Amino acid sequence: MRYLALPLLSQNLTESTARAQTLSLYLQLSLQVSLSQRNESTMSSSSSSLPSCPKKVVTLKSSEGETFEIEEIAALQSKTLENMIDENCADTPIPLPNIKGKILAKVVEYCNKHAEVGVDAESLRAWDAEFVNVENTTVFDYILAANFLEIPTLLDLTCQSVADMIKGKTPAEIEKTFNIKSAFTPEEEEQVRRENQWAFE
Amino acid sequence: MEKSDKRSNNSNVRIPYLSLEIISEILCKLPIDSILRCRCVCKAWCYLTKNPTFIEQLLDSSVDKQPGLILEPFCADDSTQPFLLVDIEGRRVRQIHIDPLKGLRAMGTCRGLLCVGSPSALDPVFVCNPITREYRRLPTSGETDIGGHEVGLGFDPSAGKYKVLRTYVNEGRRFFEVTTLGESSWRRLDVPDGWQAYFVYQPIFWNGAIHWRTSRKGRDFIISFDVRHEKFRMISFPKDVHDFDSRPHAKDVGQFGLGVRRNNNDQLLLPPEVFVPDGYGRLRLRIEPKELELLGFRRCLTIVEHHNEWMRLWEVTGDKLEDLSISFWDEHDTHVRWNPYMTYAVINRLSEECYLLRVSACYGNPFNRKMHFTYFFPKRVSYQPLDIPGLPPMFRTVRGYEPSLVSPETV
Repeated sequence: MRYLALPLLSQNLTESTARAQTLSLYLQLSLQVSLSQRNESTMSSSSSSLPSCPKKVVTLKSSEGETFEIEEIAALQSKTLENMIDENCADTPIPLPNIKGKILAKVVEYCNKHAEVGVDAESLRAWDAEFVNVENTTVFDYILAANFLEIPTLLDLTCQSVADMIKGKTPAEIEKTFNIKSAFTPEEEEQVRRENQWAFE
Repeated sequence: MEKSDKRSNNSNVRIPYLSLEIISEILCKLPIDSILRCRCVCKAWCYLTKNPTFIEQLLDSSVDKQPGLILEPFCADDSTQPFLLVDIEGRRVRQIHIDPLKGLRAMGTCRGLLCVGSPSALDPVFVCNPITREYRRLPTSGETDIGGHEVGLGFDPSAGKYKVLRTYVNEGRRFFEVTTLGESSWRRLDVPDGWQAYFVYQPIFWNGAIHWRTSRKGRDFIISFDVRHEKFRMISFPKDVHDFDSRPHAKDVGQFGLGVRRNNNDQLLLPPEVFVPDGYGRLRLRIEPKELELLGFRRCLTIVEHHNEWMRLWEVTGDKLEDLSISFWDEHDTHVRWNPYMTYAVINRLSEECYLLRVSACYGNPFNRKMHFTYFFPKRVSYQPLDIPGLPPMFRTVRGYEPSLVSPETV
């Protein structure tokens, strides 16, 4: 059995990124292991390097019918996709009627970036910051996609971005951003405000 | 109401609907004052932030956030001062007035609740949440003429109950009592005879136990009280020397203890005693710790040893109270010769590269002492003093406080 030289994980990774990278390394290792087992069972006499294995891809279909391919390793960052892959439901295109093509393309890009090995934490953080530097409506779409596909790192990133946006805003501005109609009567709102008066000072 | 976003070029201009579950995730990432302001946005958000599940979620997420600190100002006269809530990141100080708590001292904290009492009287003792202003009075005792009163707060997750542990000295003897929030009286605890004369310092709640630093005749100890089983344990740091292991060890020798380290100048750096299990025997070394602080850093009980310009960090590790051990974790050269006129205390470890310190310095003459906060970056060896308007010149920090919305009344 060949031993893989695993590239060193860079220091200072965020825990979730470290987990994703560890997972992808582990999977690369286990893919190689299962290949070598297959080789042994077919009793190949060749002692040269393992035959290259075509990388498995998963096909995703957006709400408009457009298809996007994503490598299995990158797809594993999504718990939803991971479950489907485990249950062998991922051989045909997976329909995602809730996610538009434009958003799905970006989500695939995110997963690919975060499955890359050997990216240092600083540049990944900068890449993430650029990723969420978009319209509010787009960030909300990312949140819904990350929630549906269960991608914890993306959900965390996008929710933090929205939180940062809310931080300095007044309740009225927040209502506008989220398109929420407050059901408070003026008296009720006044009471809540009084109860938490110190937070407004 | 259509929201048109002129800069958006997608055809869908409606804001997508975000479920309350997602709103919870977002709100948990906000500082506590923003969360309270969000209560005014709509009823759904208001009820959401009062929901116990959300409150727990907020507690779990507070590990990653910058701490909000509670301070008590020192003042020359006896006038009552409010608590101060300090937002380090936002560089602001807010006053928190809760009338019945005037004149009392914050003694212990757990999950955002503060335990407030007086060092010289057993009554009154309150448990309060300074953020929501709710408070609850604990049973009265009736004993008067006591001293050295310290109260610690802990939480037993298996029963979902808060317990309050207190100690006081009456007629030369030290007593320990406990009560569960909701009970109507205090229960006396049996402790070993030798504990009667110990001094106790500000408690820290960590890993299901309340830990107190105590000292007796110049020696330091940690008393740990397991909240669930209501049992005491002692972890000690004796000072006398007998044998020591002269093998040079690598800097981090893990939890099996350590020997003698030498730094670049071939100076002996000796750690306090560590109890080493499994046949290594006991290593007892000579030390003179100038100051030991007990802290809960990011859910880890840490002991900070101030040794001249070195900041040494020791970690108390172990899952169960029976298996606790102290091991050397890290040390930093602060490059400052601290002395009685310039001291520091570690408030928190914000990350691997950044500590928050509270520095107390005398400017000009010993009577002009002022305190301020500073960031300390050990790798870069630099300090960044923070200018926070409204900070009183001298204050006491409540160790281990994390803002939360937990209510003392519903438990």
